[in-house]
Amino acid sequence: MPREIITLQAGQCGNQIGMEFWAQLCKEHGISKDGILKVGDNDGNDRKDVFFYQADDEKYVPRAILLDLEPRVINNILQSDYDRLYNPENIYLSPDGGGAGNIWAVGYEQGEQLHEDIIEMIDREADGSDSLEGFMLLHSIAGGTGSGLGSYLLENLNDRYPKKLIQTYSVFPNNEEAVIVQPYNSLLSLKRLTTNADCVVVLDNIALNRIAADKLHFKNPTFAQANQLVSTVMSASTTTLRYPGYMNNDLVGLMSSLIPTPRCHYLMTSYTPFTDPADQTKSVRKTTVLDVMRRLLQPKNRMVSTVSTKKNCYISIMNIIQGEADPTEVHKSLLRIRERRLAQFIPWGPASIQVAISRKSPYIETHHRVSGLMLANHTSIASLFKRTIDQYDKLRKRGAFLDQYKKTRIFSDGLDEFDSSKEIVQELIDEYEACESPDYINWVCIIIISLYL
Amino acid sequence: MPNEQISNTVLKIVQLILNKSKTGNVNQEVISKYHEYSMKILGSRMSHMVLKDEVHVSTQIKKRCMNFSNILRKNNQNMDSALLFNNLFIKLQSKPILKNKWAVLYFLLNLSEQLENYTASSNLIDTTLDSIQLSNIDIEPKKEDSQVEEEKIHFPETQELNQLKFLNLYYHQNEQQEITEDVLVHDLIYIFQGIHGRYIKFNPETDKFTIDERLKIPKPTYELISKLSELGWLYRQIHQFTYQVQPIGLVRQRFCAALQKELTEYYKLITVLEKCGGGDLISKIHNFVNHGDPFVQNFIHDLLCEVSTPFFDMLKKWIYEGELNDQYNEFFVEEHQDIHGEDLWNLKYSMRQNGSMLPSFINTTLAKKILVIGKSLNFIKDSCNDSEYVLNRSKEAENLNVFNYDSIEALEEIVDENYINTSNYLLDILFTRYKLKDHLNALKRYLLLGQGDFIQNLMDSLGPSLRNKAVGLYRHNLTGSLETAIRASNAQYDDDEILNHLDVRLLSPSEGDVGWDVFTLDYHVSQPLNTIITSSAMEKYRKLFHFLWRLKRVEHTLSASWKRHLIRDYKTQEIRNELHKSNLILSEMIHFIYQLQYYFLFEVLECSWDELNKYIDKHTGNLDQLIKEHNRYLANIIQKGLLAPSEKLIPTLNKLFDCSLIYSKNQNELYNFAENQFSRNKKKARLSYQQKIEAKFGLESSTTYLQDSQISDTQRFYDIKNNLYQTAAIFHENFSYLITRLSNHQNEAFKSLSLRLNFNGYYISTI
Repeated sequence: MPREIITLQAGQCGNQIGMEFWAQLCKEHGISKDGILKVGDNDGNDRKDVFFYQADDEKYVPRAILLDLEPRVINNILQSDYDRLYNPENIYLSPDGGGAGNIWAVGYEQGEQLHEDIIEMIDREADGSDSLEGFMLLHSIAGGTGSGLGSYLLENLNDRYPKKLIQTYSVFPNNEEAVIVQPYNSLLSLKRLTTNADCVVVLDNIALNRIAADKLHFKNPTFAQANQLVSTVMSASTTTLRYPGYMNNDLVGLMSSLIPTPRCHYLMTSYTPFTDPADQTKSVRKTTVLDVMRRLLQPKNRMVSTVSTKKNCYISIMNIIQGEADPTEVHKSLLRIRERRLAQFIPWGPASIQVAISRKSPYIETHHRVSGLMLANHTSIASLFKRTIDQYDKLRKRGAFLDQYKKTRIFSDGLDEFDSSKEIVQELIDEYEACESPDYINWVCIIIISLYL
Repeated sequence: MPNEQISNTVLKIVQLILNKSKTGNVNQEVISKYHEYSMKILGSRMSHMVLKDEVHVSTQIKKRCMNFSNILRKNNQNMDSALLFNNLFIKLQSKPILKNKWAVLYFLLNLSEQLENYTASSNLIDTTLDSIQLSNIDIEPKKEDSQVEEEKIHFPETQELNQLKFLNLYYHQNEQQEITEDVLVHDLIYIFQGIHGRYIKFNPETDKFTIDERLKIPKPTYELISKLSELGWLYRQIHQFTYQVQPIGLVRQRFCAALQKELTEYYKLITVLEKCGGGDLISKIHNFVNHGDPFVQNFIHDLLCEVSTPFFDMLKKWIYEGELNDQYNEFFVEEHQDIHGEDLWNLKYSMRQNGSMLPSFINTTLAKKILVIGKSLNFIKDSCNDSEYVLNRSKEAENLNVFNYDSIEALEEIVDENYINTSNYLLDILFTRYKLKDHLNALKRYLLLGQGDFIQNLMDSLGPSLRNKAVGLYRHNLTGSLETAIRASNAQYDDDEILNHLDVRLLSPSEGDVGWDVFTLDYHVSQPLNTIITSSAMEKYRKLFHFLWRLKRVEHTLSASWKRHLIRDYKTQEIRNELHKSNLILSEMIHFIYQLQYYFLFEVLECSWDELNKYIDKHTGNLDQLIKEHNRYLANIIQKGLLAPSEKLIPTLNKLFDCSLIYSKNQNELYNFAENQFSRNKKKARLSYQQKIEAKFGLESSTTYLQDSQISDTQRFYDIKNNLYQTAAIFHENFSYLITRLSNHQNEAFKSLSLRLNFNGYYISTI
């Protein structure tokens, strides 16, 4: 009875990230590109069945559902070396192949129309697990499919699987994004991420590109290169699920210690050190645990580009340390960080840097003795939402590009959906701000979202 | 039956017999004399030439019976006792419980024969009484005492008296036949001081010490005694000279004084020797080895070579075969009987108390090594079933020529080498053949929760049954869950040899206990590993499991509560506010539980394990040290893990756990309340809509309003809120106690935990 997790990949970005993620997991578990495990390699150290199931022919198949409204990315996958890894029944390509045209509402409406096909796939996959723990949605919130169809999925998963956890890896847009209507799409998605997801891991393209350029020395990082970073983060954040140890062996354990109140469930990540592909040296760097933990706290290593103020603080931090980490070394690092006040925490409750020491895949050689991932609940995340609202307000004031939205059913009665979305996002911003004050315990949520009334 | 018990029983019998035969109090001395004698009979290794066959004895008895019958028949008594005996004998044979049947029969037969002899010659009683006097070994026999005894024994003849007489008779007869070396040696010591012994006495007529002629002493012994008694003669001469000769002149006086002084030294030596035996004797002799006089030195050396031969023989057998061949308790290692199983290593062999019997040329370190070598060999042979190794070792020893007094230095080398080899070999067997490390690892993974997915599965599958009352739980119902958890987790890849040791166990429940309180995982440890993982060590493992399992349970419960906040918004403002508050308290509890777990599992358990592992991998030392290291490992975990009873933190931890569990329950009630209210509000809305419609069409209302539940709702909400506040208050109270205790503790580890629990300083302002 593993705590299975079903991965849903929606849209171009979601599928691209997904492709990298599965390639990474295959590597880490010693599974070949067509799902075959090398004979005698099952040593009982890892749990492949959280993310894979075994088909009758002993092949490992990802518990993944690939959804897109236009064929380009999925066709790429099907023409890649990994073409035989996925279950073909779990790949859904919209028959018309026209895509969502970067319009959230179109993606959402397509979701309604394809409801039965998609839900059937999800149900089948859920039936195939012994004790499903939850879903992981991979998508971007700027385009049409990932955001619109993704939003539709979030709402429906909630209805259909109310007791399952929903975690998302959501890529936020960068400023120079080609999609002009991305503020609309983002705002509408944010409402669902706030009300229908349990945990959102926020990644943004600005930060990803910056890190790809700084750390991996790609001059003009491609999507694939930036996505590699995402897959590294995803695989690192799931190590405690895949390599069981004393603690944090399920998703709920990870989340419950990071997310004290239901709405403030947006996490940012840092990862260090990345392995530079240009680095040909074979030697292992003697990175110390303190090095890793200190770097994880540096804003430049965050995979989100937020604007920080002095009032910002950490609600919680979880460091997943992989490699030869000695608990005494960890303890000393914690003391040092505390001494130097490298992290500022909330004033209304206990908070600390939690550490999970996790095993490393035996199949992958790294140049570093230890590496670490930080999952952090930090109030500066609200600056991303503020940016979205600001951009939305500008666009909305001009009444620009609304025609495509008005054509769809959800906006047929007017633009209320925009307003309610903005309200919720604004309230989220307020709550994060309230988190910075000692009085948070008396904070009162004003808006009652009556989904059922 | 242990010796002491036998001795007590015999003493009682003797007292009984003597007391019954006399009216007054029996002299304690007499009792102890008879008692001693009876013990001697029992302890005697000499046995009669008797065919140990019950049928043979029974035939003899039957013959006697027939003779008797003939006599009795003449007296017109026609009871056929032989037939009677035969019937009784068949009955006796059919009783499986009775052992030594032949001995019982033989005893009865003897008794009957003695009775006959006794009645035949009444003279014997005098001889019997004589023997009491004879047994007096004092130089001046205490006549008075014996006379009292004589009088006392002259009481009317009762049956008890007869018994007493037999005892005397037996005593007397036997004394003439055998005499132990002990008694002779004892006598000799008197002789050395010119005093009469019990059997050896000075005969002034022949000017010689002579041995009691009644004694049957082998000729060599006899000659030896004669030679030694010459020392006594010499002593007498000197003694007489110093005392009896009238002093003639000062010089002569001085000479006597000097002789007197020498004699005092001589006394001292005798006293010392008298108390010594075995190794101690060797030590005493060894003290003279550096004597300035070359003649004495040589003499002592030769003497030592001779005297120490048995010691070295024993030593050799001990360090090459692991066997003690020491029937006179002369070796410095002592064997204890009736020790089995896990105690074998620790208790079966030990050094004698106060280093007794340890020859002074062997230092304590060497002696300890010698002890360990023999122990190890014995353990390898008996507990690890590897007699081949020991056999090969003993072959090795055949040509060795260092086991004598002249080669002590070489011996030290041999001991060192043997010590290292044997210890290494023993550890090697334990780690390779008996997979000790795998078992230690398994204990850590299963009982100390290292195999997270297994524990998770076990908790999932056991959870529902453990909520029930402990009384109704049965072990066999839980073993199924254990199997399931193994199969569903990575434990399935573990060695079957390891998994077979895993079991569940239910502690005996107290009133009101539920399954959670009594359930524990168990691990069966068999020989020889139970020498390291002893039952008391297992007790500690189970205690640790119980604590960690409880911690995990609290984590699970809190997680389940946390998950409920996913069920999305349909709450009234009031309830939302309460939920918000309770979420923050819950997150405090989650923070506490996670920090405590991390601290316990990584900083305490993993670090202690690391130390143990480093020790094991060094592959040095002996089994004793390994046992010590393992015990230290467990003690460390308990001590650093706040569980040492002396810290008195367990009740606080338990209260914090209880609070967390209760708080989860309270919060669940709040959620349930919210859900109920939500569905009722929906119903209410529907009803009022219906009423409106009905009113519109002029119909009488068919619905009754749910007004009455309003009050009880308010009350209920108030109760739930109150429970939440109270539980939170108790939690905070205990938590602040804990953190104060920890931060003021002298143990650095405790301080570090308090730091983790209060990393952002939140509790400084609240506590």
